[in-house]
Amino acid sequence: MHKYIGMKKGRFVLLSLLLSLFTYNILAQHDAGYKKYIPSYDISVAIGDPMLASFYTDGYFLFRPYYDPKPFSFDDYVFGPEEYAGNTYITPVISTKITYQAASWYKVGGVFGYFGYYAKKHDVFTDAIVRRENTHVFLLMPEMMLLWLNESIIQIYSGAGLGIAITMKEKLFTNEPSKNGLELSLLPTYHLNIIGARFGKELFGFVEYGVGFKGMFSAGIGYKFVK
Amino acid sequence: MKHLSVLYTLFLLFILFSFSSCIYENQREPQPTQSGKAIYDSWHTHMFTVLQGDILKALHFSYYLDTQESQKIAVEDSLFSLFKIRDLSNGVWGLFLGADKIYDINTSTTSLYHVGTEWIFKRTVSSSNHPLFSNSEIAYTITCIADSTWNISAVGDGNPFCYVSLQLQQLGPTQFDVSGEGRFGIQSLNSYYYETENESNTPVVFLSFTLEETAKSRNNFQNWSHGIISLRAYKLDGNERVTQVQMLNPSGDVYAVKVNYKGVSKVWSLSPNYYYY
Repeated sequence: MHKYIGMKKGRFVLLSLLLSLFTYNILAQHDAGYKKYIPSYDISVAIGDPMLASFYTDGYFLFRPYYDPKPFSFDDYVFGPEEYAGNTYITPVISTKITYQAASWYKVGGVFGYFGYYAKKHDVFTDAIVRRENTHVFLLMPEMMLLWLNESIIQIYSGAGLGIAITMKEKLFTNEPSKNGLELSLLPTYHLNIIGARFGKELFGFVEYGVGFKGMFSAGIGYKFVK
Repeated sequence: MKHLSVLYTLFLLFILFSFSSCIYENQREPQPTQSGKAIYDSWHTHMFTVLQGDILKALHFSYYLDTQESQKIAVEDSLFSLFKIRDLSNGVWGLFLGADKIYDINTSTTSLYHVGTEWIFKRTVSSSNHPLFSNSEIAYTITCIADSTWNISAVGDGNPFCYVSLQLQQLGPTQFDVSGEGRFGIQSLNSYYYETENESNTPVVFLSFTLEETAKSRNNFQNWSHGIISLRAYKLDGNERVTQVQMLNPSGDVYAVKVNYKGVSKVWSLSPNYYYY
């Protein structure tokens, strides 16, 4: 019972912190006086979950976390490298976006994003790191947004973007640098922002829910440049 | 106030970042003896093919021949239910699956249980997946050298050639002791997915073995309860792996192997029967 109350308390504190972020911003900017400056530019930084992006770029859609990469054959088992995989870490999708609001109901912008996987292979006898296998994915995506609500301290919008992802897979061997390799590939990217909400005037925070490379859920901050 | 707001925002973003970066795939447990275990598993599978798939048929056939006429049909139904038994001529018998002769048995018209008897037991179908690796037939020479004790030898194809040179002693209906040595050829790599492009007429990996201590099986070669075996898996490019395995039967139906590989030892449980592939 106490434990449950403790968890609820923790959630309440975290939620309060998040909410207070935006209200604090809004209140802090209250004195500046708001005007719907159009046209205007803004720049923002966001963090999103890498769930869909990782499925696409790793090649094992949906089943990847459950796939057991055992060697396929006796040959692989017996004569394959005597190593084992350490944890594979994946970063969130970190993206920055520049937007231009030309009218009260739409904006256009460009997104540049990054996420990566970081994995190590260890020697099965000594535990030493024998190689690192890192994947870096860079996203470039033009985006368009339609504003459903464009008020002084809040904007509600949807959007969509299409672009490309540049994938760099590198293998770095600890003791045999001559075997290091880098593999480059391109693949199309997309993001459908189902609904997004932005709070604040010059300095603003936003949250978005959608489907695509930027993450199902993303949040961030930005700054609006007004003339 | 604005500066504080920015700092506060950055702090929250840092928290969000920390929560959204994640471990994608958990670390695997290091298994230094895994190669040795895989070599043993392969030997176990191939030895089973030789002993239960072929040699036990010869012993069963001798039992069938030694059975009284009135009992023969019952023995045939029990031990050769899939086969048709045909007397070809002068002590030569054939075991047929449909119209195909699978085994050709030259019995010299004497029981395999008589000391001094020598049988030629031929597997007549092409056996590129057989551990003795042959594109034509595999002929076992089985010689009874003592009471319920036989020397078994066979030479297959491959370069180097595959062979077995074993001594088998029967201690009960399903109880056997085995010693000797041999070399198996592995061609199709026991893959999850059968890859036809890998199919060739030569073994890819060779598996040499020597039974350093007599191996004992109490259930028709399905498990080994005792024995020490030295195993060497190698390819023609010079790549090789060597291991020594002790077969254990801690209790009842519990079987295990102690795998010694590159200076590391580990006991692998085999109960219930454990399969890699």
